[in-house]
Amino acid sequence: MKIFSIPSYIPKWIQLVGIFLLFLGLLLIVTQPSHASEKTPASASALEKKRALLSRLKNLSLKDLGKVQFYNPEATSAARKTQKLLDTPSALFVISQEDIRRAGITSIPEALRLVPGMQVARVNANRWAISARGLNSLISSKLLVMIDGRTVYTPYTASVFWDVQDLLIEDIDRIEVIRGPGASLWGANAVNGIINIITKAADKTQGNLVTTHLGTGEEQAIVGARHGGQMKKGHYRVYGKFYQHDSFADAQGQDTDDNWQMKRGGFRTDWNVTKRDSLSLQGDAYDGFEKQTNFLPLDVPRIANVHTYLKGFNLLARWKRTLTKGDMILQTYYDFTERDNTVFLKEVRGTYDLDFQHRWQPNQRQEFIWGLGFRHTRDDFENNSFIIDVEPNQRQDNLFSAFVQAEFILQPQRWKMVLGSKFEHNDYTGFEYQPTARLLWTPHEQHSGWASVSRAVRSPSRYDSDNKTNTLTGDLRVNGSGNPDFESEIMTAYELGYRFTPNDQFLLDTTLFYNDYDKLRTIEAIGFQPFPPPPTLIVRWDNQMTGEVYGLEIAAHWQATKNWRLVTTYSYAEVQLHLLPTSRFIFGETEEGDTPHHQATLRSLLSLPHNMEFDAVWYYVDNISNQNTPHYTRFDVRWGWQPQKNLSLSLGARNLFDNQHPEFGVGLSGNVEIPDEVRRAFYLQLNYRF
Amino acid sequence: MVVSLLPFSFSYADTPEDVIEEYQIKAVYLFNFALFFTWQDSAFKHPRQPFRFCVLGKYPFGIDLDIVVENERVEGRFVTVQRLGTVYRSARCQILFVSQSEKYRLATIFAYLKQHPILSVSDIKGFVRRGGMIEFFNTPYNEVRFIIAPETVDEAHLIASANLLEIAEIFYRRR
Repeated sequence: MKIFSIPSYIPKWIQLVGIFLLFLGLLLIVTQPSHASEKTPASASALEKKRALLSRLKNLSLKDLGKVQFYNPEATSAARKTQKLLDTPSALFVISQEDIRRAGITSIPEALRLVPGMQVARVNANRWAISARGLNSLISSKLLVMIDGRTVYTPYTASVFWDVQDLLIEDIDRIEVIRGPGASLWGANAVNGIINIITKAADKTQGNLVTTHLGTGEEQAIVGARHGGQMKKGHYRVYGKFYQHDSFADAQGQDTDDNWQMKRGGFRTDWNVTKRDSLSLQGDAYDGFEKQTNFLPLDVPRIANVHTYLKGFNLLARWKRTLTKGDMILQTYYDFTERDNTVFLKEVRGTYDLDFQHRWQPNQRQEFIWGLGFRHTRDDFENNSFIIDVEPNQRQDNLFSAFVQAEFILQPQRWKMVLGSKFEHNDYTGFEYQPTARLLWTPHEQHSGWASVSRAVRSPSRYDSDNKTNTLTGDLRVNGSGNPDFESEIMTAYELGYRFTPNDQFLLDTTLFYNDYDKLRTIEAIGFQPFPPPPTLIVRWDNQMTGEVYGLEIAAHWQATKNWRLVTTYSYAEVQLHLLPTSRFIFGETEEGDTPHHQATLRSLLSLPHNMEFDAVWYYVDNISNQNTPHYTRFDVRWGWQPQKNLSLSLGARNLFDNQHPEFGVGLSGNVEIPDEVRRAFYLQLNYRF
Repeated sequence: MVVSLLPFSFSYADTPEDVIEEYQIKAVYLFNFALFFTWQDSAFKHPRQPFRFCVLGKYPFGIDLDIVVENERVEGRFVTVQRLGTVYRSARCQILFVSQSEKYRLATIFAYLKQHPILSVSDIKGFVRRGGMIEFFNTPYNEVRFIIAPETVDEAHLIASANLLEIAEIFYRRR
């Protein structure tokens, strides 16, 4: 916080809140006059807006008029169910392609830093610890991540391997992030949040694109190429991408050996088969390797550089039919992944998924959505050492699911209610139900409030149930095993939201949440054998912890002038964990300290004359006590220029004021990863379209 | 689209101004048709008769059509918008938009229109096939396009510009 030069005896978080409130106050002051000066009745200003819009439409050629898309959430012909942010009874934040580009973001996990309430920490150059609303760890569960409707969290640990979740970043249309539960629609693992990565339709990526990114500190090179074309009744695109990431640094500033490389390619085809049927086919394949520095808890403990070879592919088909009163969608995909960690474990996994959904809107006031799903996953593990194994080595699991959701307009423009539940049957715990109730209140066109109560579960992963670990730390051997009777972790969430839009230039979005957890994962000491030496502690996975996480999230968007936009976010989270009296959890309640209390961002997007842009982002993350990670600020800048219609160029820096900092430590949770520090990075980007 | 599998998907409009309604697009089309068609002088009772946009049946345009034509002139004439309850009062209209509510009365409507130089437009499905001149339809991407029946247009002694025929979908009656 040197940039603000505030006396150091004031606690950092007070400084932060102070700055935030100051900024918010400033926003309100600035937005107030424009609002107050509009003394004309609301209807008159609405009329003016209408005039402006219609006159814009009148200036279009007839051909262009035929390309204008209309918005109508009630329209039965609507290509999908769309909702305005103000009408959404959940904590939603959307990262657009424009946000990604202008924040200089080159990977999906890094984009999530822009979202309030998300914890994003890099452990090393290719590993991230990411969570929403607390309980973060290197293998944090409870987050559902989807790319174009394909679930990408792994049933192995219920976490996400962020290193292999990538796309041609220019092809992302938007990333929708919902904090809090969405299990009533999406099912297991949609507990703390849902991340929906949506790529552009093929007709929006026509022509050729070549992108290059050269840098130091993080990505050394990213080279991508895409071709989009037309075919009978449809459009397609194909892309290829090469990604090379440099090593991070250790605390002394020396290179650590954790660089990585990924080659990737894919396609997407969209057809309009008939006026009411559309068909999409898409897929990706990747191949790469990465390195990490790991601590090996063996008889002779040592630090080793571990190589992991990664490959995978996926293929997805989706058929959508528009009905007279709604629509239906049938989707199926196959996803194959292979992770060969040459020291620990090799995992091979194939997942087949089939989903059906029907939306039915009998009238303007009611809407029903229901669906059925089936997922089959088959895995094969091969241990490359005795440190960790999974028994049995092979397993097949089936997941059956059904959901129903009803939306009622209780009073038009005032009250809306959403009721729904998902019902699932999995092979670990059997039947699970996950209901939700949500209420939206719009007392005024500038204000809206919402409240929700939901129950969500995180069903057991393969790791919870079947892992076998064998480690030696010092003179103590620890033999661990998963628990086939491991139960689902359960959350009951209470949320309260408020949104305020005094005018078209300003939006304030705030959420309060209280998550009540039951049956959280613990690692219980169940036995001790002093002989034969070394003494051995026997531990087993169990569900002997409860907890509460509560907090506040704020996002404010302000279009200050035609050319200048500001976005700021702030979030506060508090984690309280309680062991059951019967618990002998070897780590106790220390995971409370894995979540930073305060986080904030401030983003400025400035458009300059001559097709230039100057953008800056400031991030603040509070200290993470259990990870021995001090608080840090990060400052990124980007200068962009489009000299010709088909050529754009940007030059940027990340961590401009800091040569390196750690973001997540080893912690006590038995991580073998040795954390590295994030460096200052510079980059040059060139995109050429033809 | 992708998300559609996800029961909910959120489209995020930065500013509410971005929201364009279906009938706003159609209103602008109607005005454009007035410019892209030519009416014979005999279509007007006297030289100072205004150019009339008429809407038959349940009125779907709100205030938008009125805004589109305000302060405009077509063929040198002032422009008015009239709401009609029955086709028998449409004799002086130049453009008649037939609302969805009239879908079961099309036969009567066409029987009457045959005797008049009136451009008939509607978004009722099968409108041109049954004897109308221009039919709006929506694409799966929520765009509004139109089909035109040139033979029906000719019979009413209206002249469509070539530019219009170029972008429209053409419907020919089966002989």
